[in-house]
Amino acid sequence: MKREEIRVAGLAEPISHFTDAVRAGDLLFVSGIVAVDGDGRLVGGDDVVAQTRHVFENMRAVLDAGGCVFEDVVKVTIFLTDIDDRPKINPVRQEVFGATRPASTLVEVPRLAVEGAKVEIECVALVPR
Amino acid sequence: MPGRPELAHSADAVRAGGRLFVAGILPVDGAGHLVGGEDAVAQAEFVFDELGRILEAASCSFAGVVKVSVFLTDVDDRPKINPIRQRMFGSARPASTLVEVSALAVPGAKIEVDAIALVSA
Repeated sequence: MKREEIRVAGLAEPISHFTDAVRAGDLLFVSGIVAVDGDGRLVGGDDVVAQTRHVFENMRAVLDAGGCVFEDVVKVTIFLTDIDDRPKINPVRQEVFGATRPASTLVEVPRLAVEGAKVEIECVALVPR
Repeated sequence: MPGRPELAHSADAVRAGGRLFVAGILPVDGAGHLVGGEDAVAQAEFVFDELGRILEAASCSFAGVVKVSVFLTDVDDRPKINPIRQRMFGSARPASTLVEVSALAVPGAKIEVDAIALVSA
């Protein structure tokens, strides 16, 4: 089985020793994404919806670099610093995934690695043959 | 795996086809006692050493790890443990998610790490 590290030009340099995604055979493992720009600065201020939109924009770039689209995503894990934000970000998920419904886990966490980040999302996708 | 604590209804790792799913590793010894005291770095050293032992037992290595999840009770410990990650993984960079959590399954534990790896052919 092939292992391929994926690093997307234009996305912020990973803040620890990891990369944007790793392909393992036909699965693509996407690192947890927070709403930061290419310089690692928070995007969306304290607006969780704006942050979520940016997270999915970055995720689209990572999926694309791994040869996948949102329809290929089989699992997402969503970490929110305020669980009450769940209903607010759900329309963004509907918009992004359309008719596709991935498996999902969503939990609240006290803090994320980037100060001010209110949402972090990771995913696993099936690489099309 | 011999020497690993028995904390819950789980295995140290499960192989599924060509991939190995490693259960969350806590800084506890074979008797279930906390290792590293209150030192997040010492705890992390132990956790990543354990990960190395589990990977090796399943014919895997750090170079084959595709994903790690790191759970910290204090997200400010992230920069302190990053050198350990660099040393263990070397030139390999896995996908990663790191979040803070309010508590882990063993009192005093400040870090838990799980992983997915490719099994060497």
